[in-house]
Amino acid sequence: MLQGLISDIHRFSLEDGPGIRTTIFMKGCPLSCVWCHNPETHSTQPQLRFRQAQCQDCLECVKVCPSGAHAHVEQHHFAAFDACDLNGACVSACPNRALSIVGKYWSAPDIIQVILKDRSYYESSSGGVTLSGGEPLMQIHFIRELLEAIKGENIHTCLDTSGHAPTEHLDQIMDFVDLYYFDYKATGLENHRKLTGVRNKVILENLEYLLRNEQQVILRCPLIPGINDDDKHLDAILSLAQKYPELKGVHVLPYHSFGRSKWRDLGMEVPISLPASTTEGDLSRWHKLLSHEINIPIQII
Amino acid sequence: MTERYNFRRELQFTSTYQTLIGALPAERELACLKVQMSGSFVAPKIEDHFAGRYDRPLVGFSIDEWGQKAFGYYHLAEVMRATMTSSHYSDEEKRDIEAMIDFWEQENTSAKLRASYSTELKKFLPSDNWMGEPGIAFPLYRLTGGNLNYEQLLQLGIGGLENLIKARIQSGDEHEPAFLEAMLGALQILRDTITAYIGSLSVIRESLVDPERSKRLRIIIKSLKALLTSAPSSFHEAIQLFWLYSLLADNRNYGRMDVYLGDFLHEDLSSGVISEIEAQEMLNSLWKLMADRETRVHGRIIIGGKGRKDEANADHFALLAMEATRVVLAIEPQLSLRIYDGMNQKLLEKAYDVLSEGRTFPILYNDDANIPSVQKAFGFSELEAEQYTPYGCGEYILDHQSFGTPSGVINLLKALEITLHNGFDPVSKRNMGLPLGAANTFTSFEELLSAYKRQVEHHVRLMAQQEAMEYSVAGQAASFLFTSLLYDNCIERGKSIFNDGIRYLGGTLETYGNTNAADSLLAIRQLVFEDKQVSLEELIQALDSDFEGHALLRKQLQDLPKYGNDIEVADRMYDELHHHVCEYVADQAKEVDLHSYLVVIINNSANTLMGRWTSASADGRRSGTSMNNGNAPSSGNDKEGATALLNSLVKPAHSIHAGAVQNMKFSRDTFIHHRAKVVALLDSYFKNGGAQAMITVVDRDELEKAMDNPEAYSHVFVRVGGFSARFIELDHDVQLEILNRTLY
Repeated sequence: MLQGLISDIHRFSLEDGPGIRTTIFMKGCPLSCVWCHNPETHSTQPQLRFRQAQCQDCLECVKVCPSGAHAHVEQHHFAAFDACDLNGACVSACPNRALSIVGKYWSAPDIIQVILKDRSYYESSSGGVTLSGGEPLMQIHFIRELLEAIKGENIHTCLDTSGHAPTEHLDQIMDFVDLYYFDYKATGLENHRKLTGVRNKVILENLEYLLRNEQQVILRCPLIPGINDDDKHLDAILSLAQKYPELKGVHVLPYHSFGRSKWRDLGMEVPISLPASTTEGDLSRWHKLLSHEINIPIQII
Repeated sequence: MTERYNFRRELQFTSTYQTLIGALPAERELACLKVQMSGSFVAPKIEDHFAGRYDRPLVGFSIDEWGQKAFGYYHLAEVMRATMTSSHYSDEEKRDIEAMIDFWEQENTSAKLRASYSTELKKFLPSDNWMGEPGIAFPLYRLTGGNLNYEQLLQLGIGGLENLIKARIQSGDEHEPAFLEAMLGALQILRDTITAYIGSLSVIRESLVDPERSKRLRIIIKSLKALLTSAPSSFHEAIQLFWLYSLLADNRNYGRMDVYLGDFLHEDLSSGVISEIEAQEMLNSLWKLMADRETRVHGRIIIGGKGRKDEANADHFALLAMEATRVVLAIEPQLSLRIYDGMNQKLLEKAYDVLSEGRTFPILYNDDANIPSVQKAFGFSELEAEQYTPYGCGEYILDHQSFGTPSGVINLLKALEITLHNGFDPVSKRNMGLPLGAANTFTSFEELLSAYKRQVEHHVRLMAQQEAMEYSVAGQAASFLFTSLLYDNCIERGKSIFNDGIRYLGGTLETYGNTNAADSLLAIRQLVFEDKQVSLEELIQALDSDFEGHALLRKQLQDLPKYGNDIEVADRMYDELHHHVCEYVADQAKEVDLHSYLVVIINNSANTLMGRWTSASADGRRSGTSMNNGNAPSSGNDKEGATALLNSLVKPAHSIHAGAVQNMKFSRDTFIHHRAKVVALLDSYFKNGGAQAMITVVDRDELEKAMDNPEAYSHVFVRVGGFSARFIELDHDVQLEILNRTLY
């Protein structure tokens, strides 16, 4: 049976689509956005997470680790992330919950069991299930099976995607997706590459492809103060909204910097450019620049 | 300098009682009440729209409690002694007061009740200090939670009630000696109280310059005069009569107010006697009077629901009632809205509006779940069950038909702790429970579980005996005239409420630590008996040391499944214990000859107060910290989101107890920004069988700031359990418990 690598399942999710939803966070992403607050979803493998703030340097992990991923350096616990073989002994041994393995393999039927527990709430709120990530399309075979199973239960589905995937992948899931949350992150090929690690040619083609196939799409635009909230990008958002009147909406997403410590906890280098959270000043500037007469509602979430 | 307290009422009350010590209970009560009431009503405040402020004496008579162990004929010894030291009293005065205190030490109703305990009761209920000492079970001394038939009062008026009683006397049928005559006497006390107010208010009014206040007093005096001659004919008169009566009866839960006031409101509004604004002002004033009464865990007003004679009028009243709750910032009255499929949606919308402002009211009750549950639990017909009313912290009775005082508490987690120590309590270092085997003698989980259940059963049996005894001692002491007058069946039967006057005399037992006990037993089953990771003795050792040096074991215990996360194995364990205690308690009714004896899973701050005296538990809870609140998971143990929590909450059967409370805390962002989703969430919860919801809308940082800077946050209200409070007025550990509850 196919298995998907999941970093988290979030019930009573209120921000990832209409109504009350269960959001499945898929692990693995082809992008590496400099502002990412979910760096645990980058890797396509399970990985060790070490919350340094929780660690009391008791070194129980050093005693049980067979792979030398934990060491005692100058009286402090040091995690060698690359050495970890994910056997999990340290997670059980740590009395302070400083260690965990991010990413667990799930089968679609097991996820369906969790999803079905909240069916009555989806029904009363016109909610459903959202696949998010990471980039769900990276696990195309698995999500195809999962989405088909969810639709088999007659539950609304939403795919939260960067759009960076082979167009054929979209063909495989289109029948089972009711709504796309489709990211638009930066303007200009090179600029997009600089900020997210990939160019956005395929992304824009996929957006057009979905709309041409009469899919329901809401454009999601994370605005990161000082990084991508320049006038040019805001203009481009407006232009896209004008170009594609069939869009169901444009969501502008303010940025929060809560994810900052996660980078370090995963043994990843914290991007130097990790920006500050959105301020009231940013919001009012965006409001001003985006308040144009167009048919599509632009919401700042 | 404040005036010296003169003890005149108390001394006169005492000598009246002493003179009539051998008289019939009804006659003695009447004479005592006359003394008590003639000096205890004080002038309205400037803003009041109604007369009726009561200053409770330090010795007196009441159906409810005025402090621990102060009900029936009560005396507040500590307050009296403190009062004596605060001003100058002559030696002779002191002697008289001390003699009075000495007299009541023996003669107060609580003392008489305790003196009547059997040897076994005395052995297993050694203490009454449930807040300040460890123990499995404690009696509470009170007859609380009655709802009076105010509709009858307002329809008949004083004269009508008098006629009813006179007709009953003239019928010549058998009745309790002096009881009916004493009820007439009680109504005369009501007349005297009204007359006294007319006199004193007229004097005040003569010297008034403020035209607004003068007008208010004129209206009050006019209503009072009218009430002496006829049944209420206006909204104002109806409220005035209801309010005075509730004070005389010391009745603290007001029942289905939209039913008994709805028609008066409608009549006055449609005939143009008052405007909607004036009606609102009156209700706001009534709300303030109730708030100032400070009954803390009472003050219930029920609005909405099935079984109301004129729904439209009642609904109109209910909307004004919710508006009063919105504008009068107070922790009482505890406005409670009964909801059902097909109800007027305006009421529910208004309820969510008021809740979103952080009021903690109205508390929501789901008729579609509660009516069938009440039918089953109490054995009532559907028609009867439609008249269920929650009172106090959330116990159900039938409006003015049944009684069910919660006069006992049992700490289930303590029962487990003592069972694990073979009858010994590690906190008091005393043997407190049944010795049912040392830890190393339990060879299976089933043996341990069965020992725990026996421990619980033993104490439940004793609490049931105590409950029945409380009614019987109270019935011998007095006729509770004002209560009997407005309780169904008492006049027809010619008997006082606790001497066979009431048709449905039941009782309730408050259970605490339900979730902690269930989660702990599941942890023991999994870790000790299934996975054999630790022996029971080793586990107990870790608990005794409050996990000192056992951090890893504590983490393992915490990580095991917990009730409240929609995890079958944990919810099943809760449900098994829930069935056990509820059904065993219910079975005791026939043993002690009560109509019903049922568990209530309510809460005041007892989860915190009793938690202080309960050691570390196998669910990972540290020694001395709060236990779970009501029917909820332990604070912070619900980790899977609101839907998972609500799915768990609907699993334990509602039809085997007399009420369970569920607190839910939402952030402002969730409740206001995502209102439609929250409404859908609650809608599903109720459709899935959720019986009740107590909703607090508050932000976490607001609570933290309130702890740091209390003066600036007196407006922050929270639902503690069965009552609401200003957050800043709570004890530190209660504040922490609330802060630690999951915020959705």
